[in-house]
Amino acid sequence: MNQNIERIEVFLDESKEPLQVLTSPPFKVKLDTRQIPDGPHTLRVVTTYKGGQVEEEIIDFEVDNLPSPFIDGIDDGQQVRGEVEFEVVTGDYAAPKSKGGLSVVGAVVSAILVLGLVWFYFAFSPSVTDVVKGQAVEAAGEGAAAAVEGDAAAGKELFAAQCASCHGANAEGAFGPALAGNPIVENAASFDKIVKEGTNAGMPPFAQLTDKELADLRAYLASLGGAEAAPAAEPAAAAPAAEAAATVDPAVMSEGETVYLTNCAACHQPNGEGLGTFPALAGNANLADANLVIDRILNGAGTMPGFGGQLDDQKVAAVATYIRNSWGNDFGPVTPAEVAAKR
Amino acid sequence: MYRNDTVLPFFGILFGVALWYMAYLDGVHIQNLLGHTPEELSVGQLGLITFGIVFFLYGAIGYISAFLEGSELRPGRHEAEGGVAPVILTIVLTLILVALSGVFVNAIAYGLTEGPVKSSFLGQLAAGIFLIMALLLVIYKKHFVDDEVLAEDEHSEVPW
Repeated sequence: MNQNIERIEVFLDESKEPLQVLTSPPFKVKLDTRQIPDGPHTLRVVTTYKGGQVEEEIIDFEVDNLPSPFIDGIDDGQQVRGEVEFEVVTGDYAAPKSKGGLSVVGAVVSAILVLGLVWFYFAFSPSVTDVVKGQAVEAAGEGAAAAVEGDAAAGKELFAAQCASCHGANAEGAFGPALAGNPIVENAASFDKIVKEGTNAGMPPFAQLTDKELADLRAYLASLGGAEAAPAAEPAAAAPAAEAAATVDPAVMSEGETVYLTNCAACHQPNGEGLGTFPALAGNANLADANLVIDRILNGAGTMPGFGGQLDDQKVAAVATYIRNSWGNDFGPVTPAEVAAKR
Repeated sequence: MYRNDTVLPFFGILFGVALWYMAYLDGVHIQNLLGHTPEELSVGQLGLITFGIVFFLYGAIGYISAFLEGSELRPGRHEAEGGVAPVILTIVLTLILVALSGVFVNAIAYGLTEGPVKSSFLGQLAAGIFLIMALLLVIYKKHFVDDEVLAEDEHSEVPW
């Protein structure tokens, strides 16, 4: 601060009387612009030093306390005729600022509301539950299965068609374990689950069996009791018409079909489509190799058991001919001599 | 200068896909030898798939870095672009995320009360949830987070 300052006089506009006289710091001037009219003004600050020297500073400024009116409805230079209506819009500088938009709390609440509603819909809506139901693991209906009365005779036919090739004609066990007298038969839930879902030990799933058919199977197996072995069952059901090649003897095809339905259909399915890990025979190019087919039937491969001990050359040739000439396959016949050569 | 090359990520993803394909071919070969498709993966397949995943992730991280930071970091402040499109995308993804988590809870509740739900279905839901969360993070970083890159003297005081 300058010690040489004697006084500072502040004049407004052309006034001769100073608005304020400052003699000691701080040299602060307070001017209430509401007391002077809107428009251009001049502030003259005269500083007098102790030596008598004078300095003058002039500041131009503009006061605008009252907002100008805005005319809405008629423009500058606009041509008008007849009755004219317009509005004079005035502002208010002193009015408090209006808060626009959402507050933080409002935003959070509305977000929770909207997202929560979406979440609740997808978590509890029955229509979404239906979608989830479509993805449910199909478990064997335990209660339902137990309620169904089994028919041992029907179960016997079913067993011969679907199970005998692995579990033996009389459920005495072969490639698969013995089922006659097996305690698993008494446990409906476990039995149904194993049959429907298969096992890791190589048994394929038989999901196509109904609860009634499972009950029939259990009734039949329970009737065996493990002691006496029932006579071998006849092959089931009328076979699908085989499309035999011209050079294939229909009698051989018929015999092959019988052998197939008894020994092979449980895994490879009556229609030759295969099941799970068991390969399809229909449309299988590997069947073109007659030696491979004979070898597989005689000796098996992977989880497939060999049938060389159970089937004679005639039957092996017949079933090989059948699978090579059915379901659209057309690879020609296999003779018993070829089978004998491979033994 | 630090670089976010897309060269290494490209080969990372290429190797990942190649290893995955090798695992598939391995499975086909095993299938031919066995005569049927085994239920479980072989040890070789597991190893190939594991390294495939590692390479694939390495490549994906590289590509995401290049997308977020550009191929070369330049010193200075980099302000986020913002914009309406990322906001809309974020809202849509958030709604999908919430919907998926609702379905997930629905499936868990169904599993507890009615019966088991396929684990593959739950796995796909969880994968979708995590992917969308990752995507949201990427969008947030790309469009709403300011960056500052500081240049350091070549012979800085950092001993390494």
